[in-house]
Amino acid sequence: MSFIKVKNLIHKFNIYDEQKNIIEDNYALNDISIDINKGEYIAILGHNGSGKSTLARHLNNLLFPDGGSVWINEIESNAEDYLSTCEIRKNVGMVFQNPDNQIVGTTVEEDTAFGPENLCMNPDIIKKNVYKCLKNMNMEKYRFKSPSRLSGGQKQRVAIAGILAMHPQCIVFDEATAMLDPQGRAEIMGIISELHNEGMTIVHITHFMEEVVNADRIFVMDKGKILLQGTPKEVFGKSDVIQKAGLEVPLITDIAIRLKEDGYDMPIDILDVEHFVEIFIEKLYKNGMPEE
Amino acid sequence: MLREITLGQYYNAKSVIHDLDPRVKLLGTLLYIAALFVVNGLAGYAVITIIFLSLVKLSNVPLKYIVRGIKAIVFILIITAVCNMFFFEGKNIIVKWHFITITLEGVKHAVSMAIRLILLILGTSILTLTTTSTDLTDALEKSLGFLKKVKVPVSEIALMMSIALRFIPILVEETNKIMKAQISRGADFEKGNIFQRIKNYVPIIVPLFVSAFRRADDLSMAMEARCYQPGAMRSKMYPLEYGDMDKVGYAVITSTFLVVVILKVVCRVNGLNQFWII
Repeated sequence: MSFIKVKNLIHKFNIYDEQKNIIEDNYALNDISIDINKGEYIAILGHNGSGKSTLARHLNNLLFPDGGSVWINEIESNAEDYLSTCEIRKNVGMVFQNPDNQIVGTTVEEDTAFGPENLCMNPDIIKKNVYKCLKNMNMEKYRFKSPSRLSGGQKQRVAIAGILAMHPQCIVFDEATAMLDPQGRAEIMGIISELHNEGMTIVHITHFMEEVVNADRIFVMDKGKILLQGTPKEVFGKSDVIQKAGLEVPLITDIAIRLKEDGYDMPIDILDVEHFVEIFIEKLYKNGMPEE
Repeated sequence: MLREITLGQYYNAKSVIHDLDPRVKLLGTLLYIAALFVVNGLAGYAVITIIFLSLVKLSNVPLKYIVRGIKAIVFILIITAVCNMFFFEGKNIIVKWHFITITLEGVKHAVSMAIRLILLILGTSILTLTTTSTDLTDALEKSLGFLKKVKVPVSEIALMMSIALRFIPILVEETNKIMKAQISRGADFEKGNIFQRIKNYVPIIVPLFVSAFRRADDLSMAMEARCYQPGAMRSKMYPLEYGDMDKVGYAVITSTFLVVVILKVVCRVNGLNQFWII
């Protein structure tokens, strides 16, 4: 069985009138099925309100299915059973969007210890763990500092350290880069690929196209359904579908597509600038310089 | 404005007092307050002042830094002193003008109250100056642990306190941001009488509350995601444990308190219970 298995998942945010009667069924997630294997790097793309954050919250049992089922590491998500909920949360950590609103502790170190403390770990193990995870995130020199003095990227690193200290097998990044400056975003993206190389399962939710080109697989969501799925090349090859979902393909892919539309012989599944330049120069040499 | 208040902010230094278990310091502070209300004369206050000064010396916090904390309460101090002076009844009238009468007893009482208040604020600020908020909430949680038996959610309240402290700088920053946003749209916070001014602050308070609720919502979700369960057992990275110094601390604190009480009792038995003495 795959590490994360979502089967026919339905989640409804119903709209009620004053007498608490349901006016409208509002499907945030409508019949979603995905499988994620251990060690995979998954990106979920979608417009605001496409249901991507709702899906993320199901993976961490912050929400429970209204229909269908969610299995994490062979444990079924179940609102009534607290033990299974806790077990799932131990397996899947979650980094949220706003760096300020997810830090609990008054010092960096204390915040990192929050999760392990909730799991009732032994004090000595917590200390070792916290130090190791902060060092891993390159934040050990800020151990005793107040988180309010840190930059956005540093706060997110503290949040990641706090999750790593709980030894999860998978981390869900719920638009964790959305509120950061370009530098902070690059930092976090670097950490994500590092964690992935170490064997961590990553689910990265975002609406920045440039961030998903390194993913193993991409899911594009729209209106509570999965619109597209596949490798980055497969997905960005279908730029018309992506644009219909209100998203943009990466700039370099867009240029390739436009060149192709203008009659040039360009492949349209280009994801990074080096690849583009390579192909472009090759074509130039082969065909001679294009006329003015 | 909020940054100028040094009262009760942690002062990072290395000292015997900093290293004491926060529970010892908590008891020390309580007994210090009790002693302050046991004595009632200048000599008594002198004794307390000596105790206070020796605590300052031990804590390695500059006296200047502690005294600066008084600034925040000067206004309250003056009001209390003036009220005490005017409304305390006595026989030896010094000044009588229309409805205002000032008696010798009133002046003595006002002076005594002012000294007491100053010593109270200064003395208790040593606790917060030498103890981090985390240690303090831990100590409260541990010392009030017996209340758990009558279903008081002590750990939850302690966590709430530490989260509140954590969010103070964030909310201050947010207030500044909202203020600037409103000023840039033409809001004026300086205009009008006091009621209008209070009213002017509504456009700050409302968005501040909205954002605070949103933050609370986010935070509760983040806490849940990290396996927090209200009422469940939690462990601690730094569990509070008594060391040898803490035992010494307890002994010194209780014996000092007893000495003050005995001094007071002896003075009272000998009829020395006056303003000038104790």
